[in-house]
Amino acid sequence: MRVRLSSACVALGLLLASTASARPMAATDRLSETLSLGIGGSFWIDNPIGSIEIVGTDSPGLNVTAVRTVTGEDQAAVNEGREQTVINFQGDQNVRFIQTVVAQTHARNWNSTVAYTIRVPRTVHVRVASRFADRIRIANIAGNVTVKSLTGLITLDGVSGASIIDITNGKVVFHYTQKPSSHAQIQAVNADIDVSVPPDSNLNWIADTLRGDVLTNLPVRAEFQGSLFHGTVNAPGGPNITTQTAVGNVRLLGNGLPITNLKSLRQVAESQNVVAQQKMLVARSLMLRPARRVQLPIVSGGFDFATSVGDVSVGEIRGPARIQTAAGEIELGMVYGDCNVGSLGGPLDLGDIMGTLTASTGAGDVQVRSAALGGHISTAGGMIRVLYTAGPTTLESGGGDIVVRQAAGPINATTQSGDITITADPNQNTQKIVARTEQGNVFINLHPRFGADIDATVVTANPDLNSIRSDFSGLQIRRESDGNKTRIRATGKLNGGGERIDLYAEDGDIHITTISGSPVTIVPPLP
Amino acid sequence: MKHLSDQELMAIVQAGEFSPASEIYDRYSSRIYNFAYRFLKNSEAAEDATQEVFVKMLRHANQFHGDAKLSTWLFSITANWCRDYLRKADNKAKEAEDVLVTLPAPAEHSPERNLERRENERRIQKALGALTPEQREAILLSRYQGLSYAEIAQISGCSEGAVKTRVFRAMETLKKALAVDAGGGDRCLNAMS
Amino acid sequence: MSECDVMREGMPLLLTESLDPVRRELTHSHIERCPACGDEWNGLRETWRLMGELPKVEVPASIKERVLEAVGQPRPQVATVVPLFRRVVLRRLAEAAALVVLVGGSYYAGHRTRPVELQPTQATINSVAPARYSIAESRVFPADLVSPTIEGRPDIENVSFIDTNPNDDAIGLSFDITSHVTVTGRPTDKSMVRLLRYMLENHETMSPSRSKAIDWVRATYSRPGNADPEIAEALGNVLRNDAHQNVRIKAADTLKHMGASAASDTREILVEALKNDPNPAVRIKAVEALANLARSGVQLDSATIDTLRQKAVQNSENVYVRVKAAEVLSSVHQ
Repeated sequence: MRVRLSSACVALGLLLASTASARPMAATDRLSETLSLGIGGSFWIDNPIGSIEIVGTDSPGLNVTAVRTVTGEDQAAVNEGREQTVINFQGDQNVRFIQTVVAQTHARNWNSTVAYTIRVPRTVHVRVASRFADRIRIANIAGNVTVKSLTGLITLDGVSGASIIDITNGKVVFHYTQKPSSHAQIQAVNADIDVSVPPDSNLNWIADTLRGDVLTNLPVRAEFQGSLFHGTVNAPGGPNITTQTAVGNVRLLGNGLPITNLKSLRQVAESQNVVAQQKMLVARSLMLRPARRVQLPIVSGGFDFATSVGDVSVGEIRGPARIQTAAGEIELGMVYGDCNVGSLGGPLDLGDIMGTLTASTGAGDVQVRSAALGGHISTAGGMIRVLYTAGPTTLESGGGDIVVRQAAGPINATTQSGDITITADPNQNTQKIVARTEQGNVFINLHPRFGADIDATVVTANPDLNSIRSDFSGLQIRRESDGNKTRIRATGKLNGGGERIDLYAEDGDIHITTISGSPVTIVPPLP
Repeated sequence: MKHLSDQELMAIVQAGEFSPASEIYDRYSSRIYNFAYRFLKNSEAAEDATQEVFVKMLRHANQFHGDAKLSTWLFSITANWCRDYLRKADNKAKEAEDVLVTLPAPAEHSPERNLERRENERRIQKALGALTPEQREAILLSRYQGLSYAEIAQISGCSEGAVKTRVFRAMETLKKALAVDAGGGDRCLNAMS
Repeated sequence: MSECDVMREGMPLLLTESLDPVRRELTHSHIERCPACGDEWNGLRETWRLMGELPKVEVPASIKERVLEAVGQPRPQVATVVPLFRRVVLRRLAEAAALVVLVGGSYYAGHRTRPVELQPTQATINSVAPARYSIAESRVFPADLVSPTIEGRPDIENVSFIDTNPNDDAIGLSFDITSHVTVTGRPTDKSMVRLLRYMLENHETMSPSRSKAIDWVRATYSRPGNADPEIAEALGNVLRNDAHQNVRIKAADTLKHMGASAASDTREILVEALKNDPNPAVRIKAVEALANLARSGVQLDSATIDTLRQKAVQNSENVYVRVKAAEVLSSVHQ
């Protein structure tokens, strides 16, 4: 049954704006409807725009009040909005379904919202779907409750049935008036979650938040598994309350207990040296830490910092640096000692490192301005770019190019997919270079007097396309078949020989070129 | 003269000097004549067309703009002449004229091959005759003169889309008329290799 | 019009190799997939070939005489005398013209027997328009227009010899040749964009050219004012289809730096990459490109929102990607 508000029993309230100017106009229509709904029935509502309040009562039947508000640039727009915002009733006493249908595209400029206030038998099951809701409140329901919305404040008050709440942006407040007896699952992206229970409730609490904190003022026995927290409140064997949010805090509160007693479980874990005692992987232990963002111009002395989710940006560290983040960007200007930085995911942007550098990221690009003593740089996926290195340097990428602009020390570079470009320091007459790519090209730039023993291999399915090219003479090239591929190998001495240069490229070329003059790189100023 | 471009030759003619006439004629007469001949299916008319096109081209050289191609301009004049010719009522009767070209038999070709070639020529000419004048014009310019659709559109005074449709329909008609076996198989492959 | 209708209408263009590379490829792919169109194509090709059997007709020599005479040029030297005209009307005109020549010829005879000397003239060129060449077109040149000097030792392949008319002394040489081309222009010139697009999408070669092409495209087309939807589309295709991880990383990175309009055009492909690419670096760049889009105020569609949501709550996903996805979602509003 489609009920058009204009033809139903309507109490019309019309708000008029003055006509001469372009002030918006609005119209509000109110509908009341009473329908049968059995105590064991189900109630569904789909309202993409507007608030919803559902309250369980001891009376039978379904009672709906809907207030439709349309605003438009003129009367014609408002009329169109009223025509095209329709409330649809379907079902019978077992299942009732109310739907607000709004035209997605319309010629005139208007907006509409529908606010519902609904009374249902408290034992029914309730299912709510929304997109942009200001408020969704469900109270006094013993049946199962499912709520799904993109935005809004969702409040459950005295809901005792099993619940599933799914929201992207907003907030969830779940207030138990009695001890929880059914499972509840609350999942959000950018939302805080507050669950309040009687202090003597028994429950299993699962909390997960990437960038927020987990707080409670209840007695809880807990363990962390990465970012996931498993806790038991009071006696075991109670229902599971699962609270997950990517960016937001999770709070489990005791009804009537002061909020000032709230404890951050991550800070507790840190203060109790749980991290140090754990034999878990670094990743998991990092996720235990509170999320923090750090931005400092200068740190005197050493800097040791770890966080679960957070960006780190420091201009100058006048000592050694040790920085770990599970997810975030690390940006350092100058480090006067050894530097150990790691992110499980996020780019690394490092300036001048005067000590040995160890830099790794689970995914993301790594950029280093200079590494005075070399080091180890790795990324599981991303590009590595080093402007200058003066010590033995190992560079590893799971997929991405590797570039070293001025290599004044031995280099060992490998990538699973990408080009490797290494330019030797013009002051070095020889140095060891190993470059290996499983899918890409290798470019080695040497000054004309550079001495080396070359061993370069290209393995390719396209022998006419891929090859080894050298500006230096003295290399012998051989070809042989290697299964269904061709192996092209060039060996020989440059300028009488020197340190070994081992190059390997699959399905790509190797270029050994001469450069004259010194490399000049213009870099942006340090932070 | 042979080393000068079309534009350079036309510039001389536009300056009032007709000495390039012979070179220009040598370059384009075969194409113009063959087009007119296949379009009108009449050798006499084709001769008249060719003569008048070149005379007009030389006498009205100032109408030629150096940014265009000379071939396009010549074909424009030719196509216009041929269309005018067809429009005249007394010439329509001559459309049915079936003209055979007598080819000197190449020494290396067998009599059977020569016979086959003549028969093919007759069939193709007849199939071309079954096209509308617009389609015939488009297909002759495309297939035998190698002109682009843009050039044909300019010559025919229509859009490129119209040229595309005319060529497509002409090919469909010719395919049926020549009763080509779509599963030509080896013959097709050999022809395109 | 169905796809088959469109493809068939383009087949005559395919015969003359006049289709652009993209359409040519599409048409060939369709022909391979569609038996009916395959038969149609074979029939058209055979018809086209058969039409080639229509021989060229010899031009009567008399036409040249008449033309030259009409413009006052000396007759060509011909070995045989052929009747000038068949038509009576024009014969009379010819007789009259001959009379004029006889009467006036004696006056001009003294001047016309000397070779013609070309005087320098001020040639008037009304307009000059550059010829537009396809970078890879098939061309037919008369030999006398080709320079006899062959420079640079080009590679020549697939040579074949042609003799369409054994009766004349003309022959033909057909071949493929490698030539070095430099194209200059603005980044926004259509030809430049098309060339780069072709280089980016040419999957068959993993030569330095393609990798460098992407680097160069990033440097050039991320500058304000240079953004081009075709380049964005080409990068999107690379992101979607390329088998090489580092090429996909670069394509995603370039799209991220090209700004909101590029991300908007390739939004579906970025979402797909975020959802499915096995390399976390690609997923990071895809989500960062979507973040740029959201920051510029573009409304995200349901599919994008769903994918971002899925990623934000996916335990197995890299935490950085999850956090970035959540950040993008925080901008969603009515």
